[in-house]
Amino acid sequence: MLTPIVRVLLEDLLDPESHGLDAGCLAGATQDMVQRMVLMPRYMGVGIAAMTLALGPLTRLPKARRVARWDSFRGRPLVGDFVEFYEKMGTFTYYTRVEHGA
Amino acid sequence: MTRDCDWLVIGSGPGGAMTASTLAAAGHSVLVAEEGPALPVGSAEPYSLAEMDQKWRNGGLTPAFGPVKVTYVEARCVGGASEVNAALYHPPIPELLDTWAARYGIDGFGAAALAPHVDAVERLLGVSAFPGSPGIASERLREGAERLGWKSTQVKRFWRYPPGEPGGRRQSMSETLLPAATRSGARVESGLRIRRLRLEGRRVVGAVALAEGRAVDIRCQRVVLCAGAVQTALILRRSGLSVGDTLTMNPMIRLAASFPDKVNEPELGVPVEQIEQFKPDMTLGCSHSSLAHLALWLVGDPQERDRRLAEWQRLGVFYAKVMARARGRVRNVPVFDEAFVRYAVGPEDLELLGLAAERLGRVLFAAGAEDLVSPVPGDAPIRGVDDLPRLRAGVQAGKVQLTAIHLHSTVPLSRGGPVDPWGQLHAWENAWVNDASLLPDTPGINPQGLILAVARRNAERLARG
Repeated sequence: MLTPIVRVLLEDLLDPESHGLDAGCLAGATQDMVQRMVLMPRYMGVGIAAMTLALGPLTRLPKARRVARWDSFRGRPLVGDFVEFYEKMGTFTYYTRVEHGA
Repeated sequence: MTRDCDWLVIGSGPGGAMTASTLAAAGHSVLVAEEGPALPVGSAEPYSLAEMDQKWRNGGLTPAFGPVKVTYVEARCVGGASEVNAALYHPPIPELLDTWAARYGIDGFGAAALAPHVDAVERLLGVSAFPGSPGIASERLREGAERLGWKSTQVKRFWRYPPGEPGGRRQSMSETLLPAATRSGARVESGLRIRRLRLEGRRVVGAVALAEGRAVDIRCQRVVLCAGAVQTALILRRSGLSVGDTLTMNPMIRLAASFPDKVNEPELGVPVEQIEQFKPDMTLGCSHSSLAHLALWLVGDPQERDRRLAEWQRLGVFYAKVMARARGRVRNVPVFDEAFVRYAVGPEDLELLGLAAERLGRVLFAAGAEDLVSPVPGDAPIRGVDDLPRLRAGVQAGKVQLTAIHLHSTVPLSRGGPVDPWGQLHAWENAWVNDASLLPDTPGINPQGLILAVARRNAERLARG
């Protein structure tokens, strides 16, 4: 359930203008991000997983509208931290895959 | 399941490994309980996601909450932090030790008292200089410092260079003191998580533990807690002792810098050059700069990120670390049974971090940097020395994210504190602390050498009985 939502979030936050991410690296990074939710302190992981699921319906919007929505979250309590988590850890996991192969 | 031992040592990092090897060498029966796995030094690429998954607590995602986000890291493996850090060795600063002895009323402490233990640590753990060239990033930082008239140095490492191994070997605990402990009869059990101590009156009689999801009852005569500043405090709190309100750390700010030529050689490990000029209040140096780590500090503008990463070898990540005055708290989260750390970086510390960032910028521009990526996501790059006040002004709550790798002082050696000058807990007759938790304040510098020296001082006294 989480995986397709996580994938969309990474695509939007790492590549908002659709210049193109490597599909294999994106798929790997998506799995790595789901794994982060398992590894991180459970009181945080449970919250991030729940918020990810709650935002699932937004992933059906067109990309431009989704990107605008994520941008509107920045700097706000909780949802701002949520976007920052996906942006930073997503970047780290994606480029780990780029570095080491998908 | 049960375990019986004379001495239970909780944690196998530098404090635990030194305690266990010293006690075992004196003929005591020792069980070292380590929560994490036993893995060889080369089991994963240093600082990689794979290493974080294997050897870092929570995959490296351990935040301290407060007005400024501080992400700290804790090792969780046999050998503890010595397995995953840069293996840098800073000799303890004599003046600081003497100041602590006087200010905190610690008997038998100070530079002279610790000197033989510092010497022993250097000898036992092969403290040595990086052989040959320390790499381009280090050279650039040294050149920048020279141009500004600032003192810099190549920091030594816990490393040996056996014949036939040009890269040498990290002298982590799993390579040195833990094998020595087992040779003397100590048992090191990985995957054994101590949850709390069991008490009868004022005596610790054992510990409640978990191994592979099953309860383990440990019976012991004496216990030494060496699980690190956060976990030691947490175990004590779960056992009914109110500690953990005096946490210190060295927060650091990082930024990426572009140079006209190649500076990045991640295969050399963490560059060893550091600016000495402002120690211990602030340390400036180079960080590990693999592609993934660089990308992490370029978050904010995806196009700019991709443009810079196309020439990633011209980029390096650098840090400014300060001796912060703030004190944090460690608490146990009910139900989840995990640590919750609160650390409120104050205005004074942010001011110091801003100054440190500005000084880092000065030395990088003196070293030939073309520009610096602002640590404030979305802000324009810092283009030169005249732009540095903007860098300094940006170091504010809500704008920057800080990291910390050195945590201490949750059970401090201090007159009126929870332990005597040798780490024995006042509350109980047969329990000691012997790790970073004991440091009465942050030493500013990398603390591993100091932790080992203090642990040896205390463990020798314990071994004598």
